[in-house]
Amino acid sequence: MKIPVGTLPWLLGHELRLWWREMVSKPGKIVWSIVLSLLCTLIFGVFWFALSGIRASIPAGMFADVALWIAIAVWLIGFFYAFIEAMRQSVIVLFDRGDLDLLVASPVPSKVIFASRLLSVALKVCLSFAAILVPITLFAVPAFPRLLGIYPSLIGLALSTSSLAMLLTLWLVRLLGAKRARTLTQILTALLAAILFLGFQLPNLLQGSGAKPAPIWWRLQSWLTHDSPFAIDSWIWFPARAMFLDPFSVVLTLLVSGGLAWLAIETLHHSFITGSQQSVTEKRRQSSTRKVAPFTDRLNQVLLFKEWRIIRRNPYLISATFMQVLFLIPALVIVLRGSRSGQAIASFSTFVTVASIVIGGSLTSTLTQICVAGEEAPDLLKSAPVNGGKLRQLKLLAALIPVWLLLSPLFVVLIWRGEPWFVPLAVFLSATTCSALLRLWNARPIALSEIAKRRQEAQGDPLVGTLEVISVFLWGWLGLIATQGQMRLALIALIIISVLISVAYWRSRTIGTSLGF
Amino acid sequence: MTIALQLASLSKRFGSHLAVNNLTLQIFQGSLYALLGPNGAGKTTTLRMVAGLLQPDGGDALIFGHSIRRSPNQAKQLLAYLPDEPLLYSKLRSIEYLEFVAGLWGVPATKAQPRAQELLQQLSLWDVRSDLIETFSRGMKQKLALAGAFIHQPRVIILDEPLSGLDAAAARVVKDMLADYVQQGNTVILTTHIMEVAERMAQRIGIINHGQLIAEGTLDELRTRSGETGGTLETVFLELTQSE
Repeated sequence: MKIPVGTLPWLLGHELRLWWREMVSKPGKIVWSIVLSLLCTLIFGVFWFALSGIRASIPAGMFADVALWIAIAVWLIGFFYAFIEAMRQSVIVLFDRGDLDLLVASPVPSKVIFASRLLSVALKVCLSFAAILVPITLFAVPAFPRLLGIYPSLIGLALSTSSLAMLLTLWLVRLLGAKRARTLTQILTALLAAILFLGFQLPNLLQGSGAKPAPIWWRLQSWLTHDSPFAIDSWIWFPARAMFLDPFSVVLTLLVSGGLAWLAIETLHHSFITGSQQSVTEKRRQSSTRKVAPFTDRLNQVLLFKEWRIIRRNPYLISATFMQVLFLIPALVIVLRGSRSGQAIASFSTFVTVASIVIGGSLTSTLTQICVAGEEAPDLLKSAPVNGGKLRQLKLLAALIPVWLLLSPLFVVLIWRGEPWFVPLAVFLSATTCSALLRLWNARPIALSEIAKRRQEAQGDPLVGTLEVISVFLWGWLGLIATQGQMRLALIALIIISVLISVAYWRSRTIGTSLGF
Repeated sequence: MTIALQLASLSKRFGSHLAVNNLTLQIFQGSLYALLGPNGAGKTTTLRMVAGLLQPDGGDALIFGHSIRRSPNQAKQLLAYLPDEPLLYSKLRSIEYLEFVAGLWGVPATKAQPRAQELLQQLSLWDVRSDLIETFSRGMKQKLALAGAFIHQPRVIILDEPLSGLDAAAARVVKDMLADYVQQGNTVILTTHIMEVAERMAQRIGIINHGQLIAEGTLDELRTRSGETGGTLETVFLELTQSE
């Protein structure tokens, strides 16, 4: 059957073809998806069969409430994840794709164009759950046919998150203009991902000292008891009930999500076209003729200022960089807060050392990536009468100085408290320099806009990349034991780190650089 | 006459493809030289080797006697290179870009600042001096890159398709700037696909094809060589490249 040209299914087919071409042009992505699916299937399968005996012994309906709570948790996490993915995709379809001019200039109605984009975003959101769906389909659905409800539930989830993401993105375009909306949407996406991560860590973070949970944990639990709006029997959890094929909930889920999508298409298709055109033709703001600052002619100063200006004027890059710190906080809290008995396992100076190494190492690595791999005019640098080595040294300094300044208050507090500061400071400076060097040796040219997305090509050589990660942990360990006075162990750690740096250096010399300056 | 640029048996190979084959050429000081050739002839590769961006596989390029291979920094000090699609720093303001380029070439701030103002005014960019480069149109970016090439007053400027993306008025300004620069005793080497530009501006023209210099001289010399007496540069060019 031939689909009539210019219709919604025809455009959707076009979207899918483009998506498929993009997928097959990156074989690594397909391999990764297959590996992930197999891994999930394996883990799920092992648990499924290992627990089969226990499962059979449980009377039917005994854990209905528990199962529903699990479904609610899964749905909430899924919604959050799907919304992040939908935001990311809506930025791509609105700002990054270059074919909108062609479509808008064609006689295809704007509603059809917008609907095809929205449905393609929803489809991509659905597909991002494929790794989880494969094992569920293989094992759980044959045993529990009611779990077939996962599929309409997923369709509902994808449709509603895509509609909401489009709505938010276009509202931001209207409010702030295309350029700022794009940046803000990207920042929001990164922020939501961090919130999702912190949400997973909530039980750990809210746990009070010792075995007793913090009072806020009790308050949260009280919201979920009977007679409260979030109780298990509350109607608001219908999307989770739909996962168990409850007919009313399935219908309601599909109706609500379908209604949202319809509403989005009906109300947003004009703003979509305006927004997408604004992203191409946005008027430059009124030229500001601010006073020109006096020029400087010192190469060091000129290059450092150039790097810092570029970093400072990239809010998305800054937010994505500092988001890493957010990701590290739970790990640090868990490692350093203390044992279950409430006894702190680390002194303040140990905390400062480990925190500064882990956070500083991570920040340095990203800033070095921005300054070195993200260089926008390598030809200009290469054609200048300056040695490449000197330029790279200055770029390392441009990455290191902000991190040193940012974390220096921690050491000021150490000195102020009269605690040992020399060893922590020395380890911190060495660790950050090491991080910068390893990233420099492993840098591959990449557009600044791609750095925060952590594209595959930004990762460089897998071996050196792995050594980078290991080195941060080794430095953290060295800091921990050095501040506890275990100098013999610290020396061993230092030797291991030296070997690791040598291997990374040797490897980087072997594979060469493509930086161009 | 002083030789501004000398190419001595310059060669470059990419895999099995010989992009530049034993190219030998002399360009004199105070002249505008147009290097022409069909797409993929090896023009850009040649210019990138001269600018020190590509390492030649054989031969050398000398800028006022300084070898780009043996003493690259001395050679680069005298040179500016403007690629066909200049890459600029999107998050810098135009005035900051010029300050940065001047800093790379070690131009004293007292000289660089008035020079930057003069160039921006000449290229009608002074009013947008404080705007981020990312807000510029393609033509504005091209003009800013050109200002960057002029900021350190190089003795040799190499321009790869310098007029692409410029409107008629801007193209006129750039052509006048180049002519003035040559008048002051400097050397300009450019590639272009617009034959009229080369015909009107260049004192000497080199035609390159398959990495080799197939003809070189004044327009009249090229006419004689091609047998197209009284023909335009376009007909001469087509005759020479198609008879290859």
